[in-house]
Amino acid sequence: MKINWLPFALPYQRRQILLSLFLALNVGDCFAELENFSEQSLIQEMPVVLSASRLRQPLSEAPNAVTVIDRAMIKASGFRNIADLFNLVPGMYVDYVNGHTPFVSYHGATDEFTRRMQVLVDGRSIYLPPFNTVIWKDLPLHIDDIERIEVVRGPAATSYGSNSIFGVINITTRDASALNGASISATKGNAGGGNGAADAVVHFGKSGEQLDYRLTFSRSADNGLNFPAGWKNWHDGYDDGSDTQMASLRANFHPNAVNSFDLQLGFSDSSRSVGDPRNKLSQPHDIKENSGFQQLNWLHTLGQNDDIQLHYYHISLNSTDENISLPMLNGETVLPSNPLYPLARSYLVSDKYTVHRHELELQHTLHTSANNRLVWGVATRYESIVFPTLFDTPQSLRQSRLFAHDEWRILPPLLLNAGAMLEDDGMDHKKVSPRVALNYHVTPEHTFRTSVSVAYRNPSLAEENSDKHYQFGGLYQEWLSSGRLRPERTLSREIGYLGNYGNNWSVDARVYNDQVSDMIWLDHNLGNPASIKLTYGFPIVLDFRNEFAAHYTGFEGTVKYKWGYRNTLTLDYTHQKASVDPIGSLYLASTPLASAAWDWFSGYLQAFPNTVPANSVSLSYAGQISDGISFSARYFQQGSIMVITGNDPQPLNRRVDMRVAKQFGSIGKIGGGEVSLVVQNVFQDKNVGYTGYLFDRRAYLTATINF
Amino acid sequence: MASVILWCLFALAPVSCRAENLRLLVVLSDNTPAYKSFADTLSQSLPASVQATVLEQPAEMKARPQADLIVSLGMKAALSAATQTSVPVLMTMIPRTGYEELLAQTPWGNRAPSISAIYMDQPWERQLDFIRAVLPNNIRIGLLYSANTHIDLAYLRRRASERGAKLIDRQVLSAENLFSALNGLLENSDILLALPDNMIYNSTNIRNILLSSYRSGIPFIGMSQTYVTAGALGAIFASQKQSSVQVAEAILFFARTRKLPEPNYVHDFTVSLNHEVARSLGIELLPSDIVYSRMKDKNRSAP
Repeated sequence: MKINWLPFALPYQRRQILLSLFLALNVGDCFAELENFSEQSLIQEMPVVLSASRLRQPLSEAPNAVTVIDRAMIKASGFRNIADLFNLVPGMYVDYVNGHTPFVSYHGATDEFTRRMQVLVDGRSIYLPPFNTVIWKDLPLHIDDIERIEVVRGPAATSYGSNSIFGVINITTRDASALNGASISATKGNAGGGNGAADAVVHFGKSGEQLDYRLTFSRSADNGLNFPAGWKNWHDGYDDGSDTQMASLRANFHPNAVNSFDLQLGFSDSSRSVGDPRNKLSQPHDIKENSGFQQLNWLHTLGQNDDIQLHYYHISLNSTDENISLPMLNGETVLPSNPLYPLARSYLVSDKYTVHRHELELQHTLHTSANNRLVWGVATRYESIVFPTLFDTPQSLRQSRLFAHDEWRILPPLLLNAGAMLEDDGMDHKKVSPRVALNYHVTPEHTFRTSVSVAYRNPSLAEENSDKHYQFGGLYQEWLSSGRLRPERTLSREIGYLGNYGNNWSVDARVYNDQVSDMIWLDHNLGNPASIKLTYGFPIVLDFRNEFAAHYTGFEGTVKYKWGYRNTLTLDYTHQKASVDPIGSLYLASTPLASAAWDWFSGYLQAFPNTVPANSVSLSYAGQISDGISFSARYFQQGSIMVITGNDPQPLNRRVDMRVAKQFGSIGKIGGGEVSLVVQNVFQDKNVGYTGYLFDRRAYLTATINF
Repeated sequence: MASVILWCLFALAPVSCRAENLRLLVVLSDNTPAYKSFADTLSQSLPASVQATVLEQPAEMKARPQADLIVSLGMKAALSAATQTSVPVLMTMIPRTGYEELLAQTPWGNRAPSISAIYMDQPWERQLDFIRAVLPNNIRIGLLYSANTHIDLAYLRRRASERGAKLIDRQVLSAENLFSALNGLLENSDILLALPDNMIYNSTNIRNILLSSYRSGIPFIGMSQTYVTAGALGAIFASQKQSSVQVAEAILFFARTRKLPEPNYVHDFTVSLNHEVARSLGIELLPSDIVYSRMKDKNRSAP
């Protein structure tokens, strides 16, 4: 207690009067000083921050197998490219067509257009028409801005709409409030030889009482992949470098306790090199692409556990290739003259396309009782495409969907997830995708899950309605869709188990059986007799057809061991098997087929089981070896695989990646930062990629400082 | 304007022999619902015979109504009551550090014995017991405190380690520094515990604190039902009813003895848990009544 400085000599009554007078004058000042000690933090009103739609479903209650990639895993992986992160998911396949065209698929890979997985960034689908694939390199999204990725292994059309018949990649970016301050980071590495890789990124962020925002500017450039000397394919000496610049903004305005508005904007501009100086058909040149999005989400909290969300976004993509060469037509250099194309020479033509998508979605999350949570919503989407060499006229589609998902805790240990989505794809397909899953917690530590679902993938515009051709004096027709395709349908069944053993061990395993009927494939156009004939081993005019029924069975398991405060050892193992049955008119009418067409088709049938690696395994460690120094290492092995459209089988690949980082100063504080070194394929194991490139040892040094 | 309320409710509480003679003045820090509803609850906990005058603003004390005892609600009322009158004051709705700071900073000499308090916050040991009942494993408790909060860290650490927990504390030097302190703390803690601190837990910051801790998968222990509703994993707090009962007891004690009881926490408490948040964070929570009875049992069995 402070020493009393009042005039004690005065009689008590007068002393009190003086004291009172003095304090009456000073009580305001006095309170200002004491205000920090008041009860304010105990009685203040506050908004419902973690409302129902913000809360993640725990893995043990999800209706599907889900792999979560969080920020710590992203950092420990040392990966520069977002697509590479999916190497961390059991059963996923990640590869590159060239240095700037990665592709990600689940259940092996049949080709580089991975059409059977939905990919969302903060609820925005980036699975783009016309080919219904994801252009990873152009995403206006920096890897540092990712908070978390949930990869749903297995169909989830009920929750995420069609196209998620194999799975869903659900990327959540960091909140607008996640960063307070600024940081700059620079990376230098030897990717692709020459000048190697050089990346720079600047992040700014500020969070306030009603407005939070963060900004990212980045540039990323590298020389692509290394193709082996004397490589037999046209990739020899191939220049596949790229240079991408990107800016993005996320802002959150929360004017009061019940409303929150989240605005996101992003733009990327990239230049991608293609071509080979020794190949007259494909001289080195750049493809220019830019990609942008605008997104607004209004979250309105209705009560403790209920909320309503209105979500709008627009995405666009422009691609321009002014110097595309048509390799099949060159009569002068590589190929002999072709009677079908008497005018064939090495032509340079221009290929451009523009894609736009607008989507509006309303979602309502509510608790109908203490044990029942319901999410339902409606959405409408408008897509437009201008792509003169793919479609004769500009194309547009209006799609709509209605969905509901219910989570019912029948008994404390027994949870039922049931839902369905009704979807109209705007191309005369109306389909309902239902799903039912039961999760039973034998004890709080051990959960069994069983689920059955039916999911559809609607044909893409290109599959249904395209006419890929180049007009240059003569006509070069690559494919012509005859249309009337049936949506691909998956019936998926699985049994999963999640367990925790003590505080250290956890297990996540599942066995599954996915049957895909009416799988769509590119093959001869039977309506065009010329297509049966072959030109140098290739059909002349192709078409998309419902050709196969594919069956996938497998086992996936992840075992984690955590010890100390920051050490994690993770073992992933996947065993998978694929088989295929021919269906449809081509098979039934196989006898009159020209032998060339039959060979082509039966080639698919034979190759298909090899499109999945039988066994894949990875073992990774991430931890802190001393204060401020973190270390991670990962061994990854993928069994041999034959991607049908690939050049050669990929042999068994194995590699070891390592990362070591030293932190200095304090996290997030000015002057603090980190220096890290990443070495990929440390031991120079022979890694052969999809197009035959060799993945050599690569190293990256990154320095980050907060300012 | 002073509103005089004659409490003539037919309360079931036993009527103290001298309660009817007590002139009670209840002073609110302001007329916001938090104080008004506490005043209402208090009125229901008192015998009907107690006459009380309620002042909705501390400034109304200038009219100097005659009183034997002032019950102040909140810090502002406490400060005014203690400094503008010489009447004994029972301070309620203030945290312990607030009371101690008031005593330390206000020069009222030998008036102190006629001042007492019933704290609004929870004792540290009870918080530790709560955390242990919710997350039984040996854990690291993250604690943010601002430069202005006078907490005895050595004491908190010692008590934590006695219960097999480790205290990880970070000082927040300024509002700008909050995020780096929070992020540093979340990386090294298993749970984040809030203690009364207006610089940290105010309406500007609470949203981001909750979001950051949830993003890091670190449960947050709040200080009231409001925190739990907003997204904290849980909280223990004295409900208005529980506080009122103890305040009423102190008033009746004063009526009998003309003495105030020693400053103390509210003996009874409420356990509130957010099972939705727990489930989402993968935390298995016991029902709140079981957590409550375990904590009570532990205290009963304690020497």
